[in-house]
Amino acid sequence: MHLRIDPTRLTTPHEAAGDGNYDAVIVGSGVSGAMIAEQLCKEGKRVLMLEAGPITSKSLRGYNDYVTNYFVSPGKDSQAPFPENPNAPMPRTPLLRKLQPGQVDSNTYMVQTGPYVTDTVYSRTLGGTTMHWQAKTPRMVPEDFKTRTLYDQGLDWPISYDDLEPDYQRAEREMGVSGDVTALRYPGGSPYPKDYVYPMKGMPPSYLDQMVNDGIEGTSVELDGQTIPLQVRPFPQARNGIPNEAYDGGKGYTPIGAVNTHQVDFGERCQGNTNCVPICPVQAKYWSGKTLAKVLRMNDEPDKGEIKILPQAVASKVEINPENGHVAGIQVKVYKNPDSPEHETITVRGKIYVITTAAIETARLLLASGLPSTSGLVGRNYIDHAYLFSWGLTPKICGAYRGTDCISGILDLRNGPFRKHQAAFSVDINNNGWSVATSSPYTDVTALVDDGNLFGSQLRRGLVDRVSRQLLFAFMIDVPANESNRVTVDPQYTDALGNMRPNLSFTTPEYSMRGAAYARQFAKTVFSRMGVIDYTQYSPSNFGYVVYEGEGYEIHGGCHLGGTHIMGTNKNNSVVDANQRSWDHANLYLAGGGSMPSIGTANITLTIAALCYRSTRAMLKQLSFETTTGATIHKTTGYHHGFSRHCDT
Amino acid sequence: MNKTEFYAKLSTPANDPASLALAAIQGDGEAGTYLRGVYDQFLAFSVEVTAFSRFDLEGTGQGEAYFATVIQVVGYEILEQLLDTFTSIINQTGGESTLVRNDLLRRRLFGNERLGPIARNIVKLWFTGNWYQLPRNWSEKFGPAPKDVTFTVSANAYVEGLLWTTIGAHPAGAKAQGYGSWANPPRIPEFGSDAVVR
Amino acid sequence: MDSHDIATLESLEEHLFSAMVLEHATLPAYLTALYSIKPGTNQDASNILRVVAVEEMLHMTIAANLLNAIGGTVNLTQTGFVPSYPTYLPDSIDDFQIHIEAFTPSALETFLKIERPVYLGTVQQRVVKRRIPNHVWCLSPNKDGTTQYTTIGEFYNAIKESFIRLEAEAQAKGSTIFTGDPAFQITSEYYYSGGGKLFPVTNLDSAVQAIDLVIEQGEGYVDEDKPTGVFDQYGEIAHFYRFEQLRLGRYYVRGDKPGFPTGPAIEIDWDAVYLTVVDPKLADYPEGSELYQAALNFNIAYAQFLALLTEAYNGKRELMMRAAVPAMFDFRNLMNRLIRNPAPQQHGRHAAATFEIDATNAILGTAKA
Repeated sequence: MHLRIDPTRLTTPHEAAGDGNYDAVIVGSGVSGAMIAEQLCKEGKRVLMLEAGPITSKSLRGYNDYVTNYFVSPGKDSQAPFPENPNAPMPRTPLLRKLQPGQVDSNTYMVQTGPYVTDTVYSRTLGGTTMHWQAKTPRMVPEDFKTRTLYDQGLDWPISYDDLEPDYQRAEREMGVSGDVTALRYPGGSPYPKDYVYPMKGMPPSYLDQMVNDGIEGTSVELDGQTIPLQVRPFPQARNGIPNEAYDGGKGYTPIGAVNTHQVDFGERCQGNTNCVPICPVQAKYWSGKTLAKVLRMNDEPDKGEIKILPQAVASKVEINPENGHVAGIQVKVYKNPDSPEHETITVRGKIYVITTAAIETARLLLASGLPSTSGLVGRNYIDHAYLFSWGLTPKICGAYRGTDCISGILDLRNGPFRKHQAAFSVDINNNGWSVATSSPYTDVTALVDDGNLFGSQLRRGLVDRVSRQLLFAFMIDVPANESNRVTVDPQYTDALGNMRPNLSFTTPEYSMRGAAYARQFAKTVFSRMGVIDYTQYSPSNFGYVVYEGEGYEIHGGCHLGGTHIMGTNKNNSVVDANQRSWDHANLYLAGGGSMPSIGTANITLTIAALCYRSTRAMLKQLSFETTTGATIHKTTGYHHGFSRHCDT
Repeated sequence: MNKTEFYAKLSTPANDPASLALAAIQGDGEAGTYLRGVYDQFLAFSVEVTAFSRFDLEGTGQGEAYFATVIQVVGYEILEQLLDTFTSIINQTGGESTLVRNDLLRRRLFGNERLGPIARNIVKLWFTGNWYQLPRNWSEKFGPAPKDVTFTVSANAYVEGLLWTTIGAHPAGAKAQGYGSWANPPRIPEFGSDAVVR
Repeated sequence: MDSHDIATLESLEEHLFSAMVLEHATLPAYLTALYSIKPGTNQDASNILRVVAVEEMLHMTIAANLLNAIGGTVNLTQTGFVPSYPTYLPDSIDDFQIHIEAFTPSALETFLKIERPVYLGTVQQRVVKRRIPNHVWCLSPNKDGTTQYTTIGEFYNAIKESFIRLEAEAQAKGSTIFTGDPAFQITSEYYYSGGGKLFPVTNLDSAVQAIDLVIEQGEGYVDEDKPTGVFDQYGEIAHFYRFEQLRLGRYYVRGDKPGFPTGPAIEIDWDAVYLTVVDPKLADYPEGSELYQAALNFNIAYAQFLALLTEAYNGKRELMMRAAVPAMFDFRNLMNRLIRNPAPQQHGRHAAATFEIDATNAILGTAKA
């Protein structure tokens, strides 16, 4: 498959503004944008896709430039591949600092209004945050959809796990998930249909995973009167492994490798580059370009729709028709050069509008457009996972820094009656050592050379001892929706194009801190079972430092953005309905994590993708109703000039 | 090109330091011989302080780039002083045990106020591909060195960091070891006490 | 039946083993050229070389599947499996040899000759009588070695026809030539990424399909209706045209006529290459040096790899993924390390892996008969 964004698929500001015949205007090219475009084009619809950032990754050279940017960045932060772009900036972590009470930090793109500071990030470029996501794809558990009812925490969804289950399967196919269902069938886990298998077989657990499992299998912990047996289980993940011949009733599955190139095949299997975040160098990991490649190919098929892409186009205002509340158009600032604020402003129009720019940007755009919604909930209920790390040295060499970033974890505490009192969590066993917590292994080299005064063979021995034994548990802790955690805008904070920047006000609730405190205890318990030397240290000067019941913790953001335009049962308790359609604006869909009233202990992308299928069914229904009112589909000629390979089937 | 010319060319931002260094050490005549000698010393010192063989060091393809980096940031004189000190320690300890040699290296080189931080930075260059900004008190006393900021020498220098070889892993994002290889224990290369034994 | 046809099952087995030898023989040349390119430069050339090398591995595995399908024995550890370089190909006696050398214009010309399509060959018949010197390794349809195939495509066509004829003969007697153990077939599940799907060869249809894949990926798709053949019906471009893009400095896109690519430009920086000793031998490196030891170690590792592949092709399919694939990734590092080291007394040339496998086996005392 080839992501063939040739000149005929790109549009110009002039052409986009003058074309009144789009079925859908989609803002964003990430997972939701691409999947919704794919479903609409499949049914013959015409789509305009706006991408705020550059479309560098459309070519292999551009994609490789991103990889090189990461290599030459000595800090190697999670946005290092993506160059600064003042016209469509993104949050970056290196500049964060701790806030004193009442302080506001506007040094980085996302204004931190406190009291807590988050290092959560998202990417504004072709592919959105799928460029740098870790690609773990656990499903939510059924209880996550009704935490208010069951545990008196957070908010319920208007739909259930069972409602979403078939769409989970569709998303798992589209993203090409590798996973072992048998390892995921356990009490409290997500129920899979009988005989279900993932498109590809599970990734082999790392040597470190096996070592952790050897230490804990057969042991258990007591929590809230419940005995919870422990075991290491591999996560399902959207990266290419070994296709499962039993998939799809024995039809099997063909992996999709790198797409932004032709004549070059790679990425059809993960090679273990241990660099899922911030960028997979071979594209074995799913990114939305893979879905966009399918959409682009539809342009050549007579019964399919078409897509036009307008890059470097920042949606700046949603315009509303005051008579019926419908969206009348989206004002877009289109810039030629990321280094210059020079831009032209156009308005694009379609029958429906789909904003897919992730929870923070979507809320920002609506609020900047003066659209807080009837419920007043736009921007409120911001959710992200709270991450807590615990790290130490294993008694024997565990072979850190190999494999994918994370293959397995401890999932048994994702669910249970204890959720009435404290937040559930999922535990990642990181294969990339302590890097997320301490910037290892670089800090280990400098410590051993500068402070340890080691060189030569002593240094080599020291490095093996210090780096090859690194174990880190990343606890992903549930944070229930809370109206006071919110995104706002403020005219005094704008970007280079004059768009208002997002302001984030955030506190980790006590419920989640109780989970964090237990997580820390849990880590100590497991460490003691394994004989791991605990090296965990939380620094009071860290921006994420929180004191809870006399103990200090560093809480990090999870980049799992939810809740700013939650779905619900009516226009007073929510922003969108169960199809992610705006209650107030009938032709507006807000697709993405922002619609999720809870995120449980699952990485959110799979659920976001599943919701896309649900939403596109509603969109198609709406469009077919409107098409009968007279509009005809006018398709421009395809561009028969490219490559496809046998893996296209 | 003699060493003064080499140094001058290195200071011109448009020139690629690694290629310049390569041209310099491959040069003809007295200057070429001289620079080749210095570069040989640089590699000999690097072998001593990394415990990787000259074959392994040259196998990274980064020798010239690191040689040029040191000269670019702190200047020729200080590198020559460091290498001369190293050579005199080696001459003085010929036939003695590693222990004795290491003691002298500590006292006269790593413990030298002027040379120590440079020696440590050369070690870090080989292991990480990064030049690390020198301690402030060094700059105050022996500076200024305007190019002395933390930077990665090149994308490939990152990829060739010996840190990864040392631990039987690979740099994040490059030199992957293949699907499923991670399920096996790491293959950590053996090394002797003062030279690499493969 | 012509005298050069492959008339017996035994002869077909020999030809299939020769096919494995042939497919493998290009690998040291392609890999050395690939890794001689300085990192970060010549991305287009690197990608093309990498894809071709990966597909040669695939072709070797397809040949193994074909050989296993008819109950033959795959043994890559046998003497002569890896030729001594420089070496000839079946169609190259008169004009070229394959060298282990860096990526240079002349290496590229050799690669183009290796992959040249049937219709670009100089001779129009399938086999040609030539005097083949005794010391020269060469594929030949008859044991006395006086005739050879004019192109690799013709060699595979002869194999294909033999499959069809021998199976028809067997069917007429109520039997089949496909008597091999299906559990020896390497399928995509056991193989690595790139270069197409690996399917089991269990009958005539799958055998013909497998042979066609090898021909099309190598030389391009040629039939009378579509004489262009830059792309096959799946949109895949043949090795010859992949390499020709480098010579012509431009990518082919669909619809292009051979020789006239109209896609994006390709630039080659011939200076961004480590020039290596041509057809290096261990004897070129100072005995006892780290370089010598590293080159020897590479040969040992490679000999072990061939032994491992032999096991994988003989029923232990899981070894393919568990051991053979990581070994290929390892060779990248080992070859790179050699290539970045200057070889003393070799006029400024750099070292490279020597692939003297028979000699290594002799040293190790593990040579097989």
